[in-house]
Amino acid sequence: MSPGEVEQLYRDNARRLAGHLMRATGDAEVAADLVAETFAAAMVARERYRAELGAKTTWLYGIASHKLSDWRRRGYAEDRARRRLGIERPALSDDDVAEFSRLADEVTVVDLLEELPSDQRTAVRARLLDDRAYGDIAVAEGVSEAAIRQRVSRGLASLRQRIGGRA
Amino acid sequence: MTDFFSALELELHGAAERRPRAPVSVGQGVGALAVVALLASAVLLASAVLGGGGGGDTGELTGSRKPDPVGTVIPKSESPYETRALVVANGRAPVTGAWQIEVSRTRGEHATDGSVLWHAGYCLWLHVLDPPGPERDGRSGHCGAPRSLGFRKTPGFSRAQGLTQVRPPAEEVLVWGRVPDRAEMVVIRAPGRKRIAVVPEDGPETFPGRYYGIPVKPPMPGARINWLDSEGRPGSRGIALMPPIAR
Repeated sequence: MSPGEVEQLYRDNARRLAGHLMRATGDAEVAADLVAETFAAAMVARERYRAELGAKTTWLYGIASHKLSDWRRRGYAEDRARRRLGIERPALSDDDVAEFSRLADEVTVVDLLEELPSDQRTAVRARLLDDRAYGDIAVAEGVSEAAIRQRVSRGLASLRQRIGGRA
Repeated sequence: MTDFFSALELELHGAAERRPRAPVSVGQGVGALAVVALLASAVLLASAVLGGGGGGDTGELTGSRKPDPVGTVIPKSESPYETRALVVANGRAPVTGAWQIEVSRTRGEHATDGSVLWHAGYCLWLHVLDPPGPERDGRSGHCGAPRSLGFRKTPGFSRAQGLTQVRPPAEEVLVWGRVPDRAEMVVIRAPGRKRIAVVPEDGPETFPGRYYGIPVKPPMPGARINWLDSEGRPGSRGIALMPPIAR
């Protein structure tokens, strides 16, 4: 992925990711730290991205998920990638804090669905939005019904996590 | 886009697109920052680019430095500003020589009595790369909230003037600033004078607005500057130019 593609990824996803991280942390300052660190890490690791492993947004949310886990474990947001790139995390104004709170309420499940790995996205969409039976989906996908159930389960767990709850 | 998101985008862009450039000493811009501290509440900051001895022989192209390309990020270590800066426009004027407009962030500043000198937001700077005189730095600028850059009555529209000489008669004044994205033309009019019209240049994707730098030979009494939209409608009431253009 080129630097320009990372910047485009930022323009397309920064606010939604901020909303996700705001919901997950309940703290605009922490969410801002994690947004900055996530995109800095994406910039550092951009050449390791492989399209066959999933959508760019999936890859990005994977990074954010790791950063979020680190924050939960350590109690502070790391800044390794930011330091490596010399990126300053901009200070939050009162308006920014209000915007983070607003973004936390904005994300829809359909938006988040697009960020799931393709097999989970297909399974969740077919089961929950199209109301198809597990068996039908399994036949269409050429896998077992158990595999479809597992994909739906994992997809829903991932969605719950992105909405702000624990998986 | 809020200040946080646009500022972080600028940081990311800097990390991705940093280009090698000629070093600029940190001390060079301190004088300009001091000027801003004193005058930020005013709409106009005239730059301090000295002429070659007051009415001397500065009528030729000045200097040989090339401006940085639009989109160049100037690292904080090479910038005299509070933060790294982004080049949003550039050009060359007959007397002033090569110039570029730079944007940096500011945390704002308060006077000792607590009054706001300027708000947190952005500063827009004119950087004359090879000012004719050796005594002063070729930077001047204005700071303010992101949308207005301090020009509250005409958000998104700013004008400032850079002098090529302190003592009259000034040979050229560079009128420069920002206009909204929808501006198609920037026009200077004065009674009884032929109008000057230029097409503003797009800035980089990472910072809003379009930018202009218009070399003007003074005097033009009563001159005002305004921007026009795609249908030729004035974008604002216009802003009067300052001496020595409009005496």
